[in-house]
Amino acid sequence: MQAIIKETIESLGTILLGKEQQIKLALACLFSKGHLLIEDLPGMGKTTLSLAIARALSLSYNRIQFTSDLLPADILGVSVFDKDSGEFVFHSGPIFSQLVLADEINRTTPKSQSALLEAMEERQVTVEGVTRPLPHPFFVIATQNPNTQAGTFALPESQLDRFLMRIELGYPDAAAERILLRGEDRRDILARLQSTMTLDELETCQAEVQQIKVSDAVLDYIQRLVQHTRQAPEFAYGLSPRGALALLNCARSWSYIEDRTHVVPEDVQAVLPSVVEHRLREAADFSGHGGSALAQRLLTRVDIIG
Amino acid sequence: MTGFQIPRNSLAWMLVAQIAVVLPHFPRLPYWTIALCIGCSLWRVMVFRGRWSYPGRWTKALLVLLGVIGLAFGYGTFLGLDPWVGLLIMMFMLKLIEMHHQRDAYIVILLGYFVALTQFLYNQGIPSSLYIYLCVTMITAALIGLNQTRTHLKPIQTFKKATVLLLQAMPLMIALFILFPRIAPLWTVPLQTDVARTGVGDTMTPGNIALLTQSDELAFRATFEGSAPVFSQLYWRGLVLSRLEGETWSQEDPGLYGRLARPNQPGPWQDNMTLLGDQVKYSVILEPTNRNFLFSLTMPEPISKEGVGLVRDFRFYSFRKIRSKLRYEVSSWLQYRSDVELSPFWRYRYTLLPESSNPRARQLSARLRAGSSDEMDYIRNVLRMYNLQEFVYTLSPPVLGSDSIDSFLLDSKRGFCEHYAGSFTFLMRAAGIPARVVVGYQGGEYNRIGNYVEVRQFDAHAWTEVWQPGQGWLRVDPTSAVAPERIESGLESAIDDEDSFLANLPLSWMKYRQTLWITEIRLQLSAIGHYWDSWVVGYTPGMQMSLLTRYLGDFDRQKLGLIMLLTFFSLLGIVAFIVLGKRSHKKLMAVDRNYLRYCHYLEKQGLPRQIGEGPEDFAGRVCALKPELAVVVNAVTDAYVEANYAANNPSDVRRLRRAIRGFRLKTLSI
Repeated sequence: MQAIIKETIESLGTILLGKEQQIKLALACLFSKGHLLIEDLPGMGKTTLSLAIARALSLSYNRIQFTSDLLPADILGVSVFDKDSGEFVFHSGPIFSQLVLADEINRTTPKSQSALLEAMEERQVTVEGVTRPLPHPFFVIATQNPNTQAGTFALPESQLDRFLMRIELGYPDAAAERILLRGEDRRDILARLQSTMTLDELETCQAEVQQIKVSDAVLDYIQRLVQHTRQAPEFAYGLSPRGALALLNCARSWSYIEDRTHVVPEDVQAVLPSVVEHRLREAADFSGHGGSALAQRLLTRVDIIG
Repeated sequence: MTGFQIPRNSLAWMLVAQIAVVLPHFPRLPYWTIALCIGCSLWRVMVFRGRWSYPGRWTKALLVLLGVIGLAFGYGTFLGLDPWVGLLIMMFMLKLIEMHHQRDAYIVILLGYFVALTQFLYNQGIPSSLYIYLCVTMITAALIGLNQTRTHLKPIQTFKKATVLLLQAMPLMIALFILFPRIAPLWTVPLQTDVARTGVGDTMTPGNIALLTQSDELAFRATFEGSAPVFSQLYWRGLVLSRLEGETWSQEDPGLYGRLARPNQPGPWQDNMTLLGDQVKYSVILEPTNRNFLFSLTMPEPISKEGVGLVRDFRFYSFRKIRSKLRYEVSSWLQYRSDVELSPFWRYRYTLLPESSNPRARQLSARLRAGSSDEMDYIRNVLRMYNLQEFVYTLSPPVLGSDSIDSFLLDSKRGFCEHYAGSFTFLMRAAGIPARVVVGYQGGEYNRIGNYVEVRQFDAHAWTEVWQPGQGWLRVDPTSAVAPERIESGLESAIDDEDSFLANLPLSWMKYRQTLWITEIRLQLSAIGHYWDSWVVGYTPGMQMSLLTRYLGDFDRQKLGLIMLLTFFSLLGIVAFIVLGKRSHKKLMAVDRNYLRYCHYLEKQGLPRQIGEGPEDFAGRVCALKPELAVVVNAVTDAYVEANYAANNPSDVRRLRRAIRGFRLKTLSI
């Protein structure tokens, strides 16, 4: 199984050059059955990454481009009267797909945002009184521009919390960028990308992640981390139990990807920034963007041995 | 001008504390300082609100100059304590409008503490101490406010914090008070040099003791070992007056008395003295008198007190004026026989009278002497005269002319104790009997709560001592012949029908001695004040020594220093234990302990593990820096990870121990 994962990471690496860390984080998020939020400037490869993941993991894929006039029905689907049968027929929306890319989620109004976020949480959609389950597995990869950019509706804390991880892609390094500039169009490579993991294999991964051993020492460490966010004065508020659980699950996935049978503190540390940054806010910061500094401080303040 | 803005809480407390600190000083300060205080506070508030700006350099210089000149004119001198305290307070107020930086705010706060303490130079009583404690709390609140963020807007919270902080500091304060070596300061403050104080003066003229009895101020308190003598025995001798010049009785020229007696060097005159009966031991806490004499009962033994000696006429003399509370211990014999023989010189001195004054009194004396069989009979006859004739004991005697003893004895016959003592001594001397006036206090109020006698100014009294061959000096109190209640139960009952007791002090506690509950409260308060005086204000180096000796046995300064250090560090240790103990409330697992030991070895090699650094990351870093250790470091890390994370069996340390041993061997071999 680890070989398959390794192969997947490598093949994704050919699309998104020099971003192995982010690829692994995205996979860890999927293995933990969580949704992923990618926050970065336009043109950094957010869409490319999600499309590549869909192809590599052979998932059905739909993309919703969020705009300010998008309505919930545009996401969930709508019933239309069929003249021939004389009945209303449900036309499912783009959300009925195993991997949904919600592009630029903060461009749309809160009403449409919450339609998506409800579906993410419940993994089912209720339209006109009929509840329809979403396909299995179901992942949402949402992308957003930094909140400070014009024309954005920032997601509130409660909705950010629905995303297991938030990652940033960042600029590629010079070598990777050179390859990008020299090489052929990424879209062509993407079109040729072979599926490296089947749905069954993905489910096996998700099941095996749950078998990863977590020792008391690691649980102590996680609890001390969480406790620190609740006590230290620079944190506006602490991590919720859901945040702690998210941290634990992601650490498990990470250690699985790293081919270990048990979680070590380094696994927790590797996923911690992506898991907690969007769940924390600095006490002195009212715009809500001090999370990454807080995560770094958290790592250097709490020791692995308590 | 920097952008420093003092936090609101801090400023609020600073202003409140400043006014509170300066308030008790106002009666001693020139009146314009009140305006200065209010003006500076106002200016500071306006600066805080952004309405006004700080004063310019020249304005400030001008203010300081005007202030110094004002103080110089206000006090007329820069000698003594008051002008300097005034200067300190003025600077303290002016600094308020110069707080550009945080550092300035700290200076104001430290000055505040200092000014608060100057109050102790004037008053060391309990109310004043409590007030200073309150001031210190407020200044501490300002200090806390200075270190709080701007979001703290509740001054009461800050004050609460300061209160808690100071209460926490209390045990340390008490420990330091008791144990810290009490050494005299290297400098001395010229305390209130020539302040007029109520009390017995150096001389006696008719009227001045009566004036003294208008005051209810405390003179001294005396605590007896065992039970106190009866009221009529409490003749507190202060000074002996044996020279009459005009109307005034004054002290004998001190040169005539010879050397003062000290415990280890008794005066020669002490030899012909017979002490009878029981000894009475008592300790006196004397309020500052600004005089040189101490009070004691007859017949005192010399006391061991620096600069205090027993004079030939059996009273204590202090070479330094008593400017602060003085505590001394005396033992006296109430029954004695002294100076059985009196040399012709002293016999002459004690019968000396001004020539040709008070002729009618001399005639009276001659008439009475002629009608008496011997000197003792004469004394009795004179006393009988006081008793049988129309003599009145009153606080408001009429003004007497030049031959005051004549007009008192034969015309007005109204007088206070000094009239009786003075005229009686005159009559004695006129008949050739050696006699002298003694001035001091008589009686006092027994406080059963604190078991001490409290003597106030209205207990001031004057009486006579006459000398008889074979019997020595005898105390004769002519007042007792006129008003025996004065001697039996005090001034108030003696002048009861006159209604003049403390007539000028309508609110004095002492006027309500008949009201039981007021008396009870007064006695309680007085007892508390007495304990404060004897244990806190009067905690002298000697007392500290004896207290520590009682609990520690023989000890020296070194031992005391050692005890202090031990106390300090044990207190620190307790605090550290509580604080640090909280951090490691959970006992470390064996595997963690061993791993930390390994980290410690590496730290000694200059490779400390960072906080939060995981074992594998650490191993990676160490291997990169010291490739030669790679094998052993990885062995240790693997063993640790295996036991702690993979096996979840942190008590199994065998493999880790072995790996660490290997690591040690490897590092030692390198």
